Amino acid sequence: MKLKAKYILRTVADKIVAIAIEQGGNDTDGVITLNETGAFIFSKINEGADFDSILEDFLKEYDITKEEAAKAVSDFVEYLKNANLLEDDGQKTMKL
Amino acid sequence: MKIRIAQLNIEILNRGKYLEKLCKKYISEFDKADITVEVTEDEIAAEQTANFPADYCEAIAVYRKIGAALPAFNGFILHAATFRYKDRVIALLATPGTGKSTHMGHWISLFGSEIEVINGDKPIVRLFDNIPFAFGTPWCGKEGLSKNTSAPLTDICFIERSEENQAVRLLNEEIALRLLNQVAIPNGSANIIKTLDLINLTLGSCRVWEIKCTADISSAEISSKVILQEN
Repeated sequence: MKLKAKYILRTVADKIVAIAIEQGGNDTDGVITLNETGAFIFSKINEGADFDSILEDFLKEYDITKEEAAKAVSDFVEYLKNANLLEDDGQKTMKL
Repeated sequence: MKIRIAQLNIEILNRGKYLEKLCKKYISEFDKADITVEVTEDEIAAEQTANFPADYCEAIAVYRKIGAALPAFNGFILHAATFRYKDRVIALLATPGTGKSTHMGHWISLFGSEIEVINGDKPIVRLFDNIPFAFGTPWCGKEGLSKNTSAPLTDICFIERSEENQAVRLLNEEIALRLLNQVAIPNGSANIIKTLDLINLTLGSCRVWEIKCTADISSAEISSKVILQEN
């Protein structure tokens, strides 16, 4: 599970945004806004974490069940896939 | 060619003559450049989107490269029609073709010579003591509206076409993506982080508005009334 680009995450006007480092100047479509949990998962993927370690960190951060956490992470990864932001490496996104 | 814009000495190692014509109001003389810009054939070709002449594309590539150097000078390029009215400096932002120039034209029709256009399309914004100043530059849209001057930016307005006229203050959460789509964000993590910090500081000094407007002068009557009554 790898993003197609490397991103910087920053808060702008109280909103968390991710900006592709090498697309900044030429492609403002490289700007993504994220909510808090999306930013949490996105930043982990951006750091190169795999699904299981993201799930583990997510459970440490939020007071929810493993099933709920797995669904949240899996749904977000699916969103990134649909937005064509992930490289297709064949890795399953959900392991329970 | 040597020019001075946004209080910066900029040397452009240009190929074509179009840049000299474009920058004639900003020609300067200096010994030491703050920024030196030269663009490659590839960088010129990258700007080629609609069969524009090469020297026109060179001018776009040069401004992009100037923009990439601006974070080091607490600056960035904003895509906005920007003008001064009394103690207010108003930036109108919109996706191309929405009518920011038209809306600025209506303000000019309303207030005449009391409006001073700083830059009709792409001012440089530089922060001094955390105050954002909008600067006239040669890159100012096809109407060529710019003045070699600067003033502290006070109001950022997102323009949207509508059947009715309305101007409202925007909440912070509604601003980020819209604003970032109108800022030339340079490549590279350090440049991006600096630019975003500058944007946050700019927002700390400005009121931010959404102007929903028709294409006629009544839109400026409404927006000016609402914006100017708030101090």
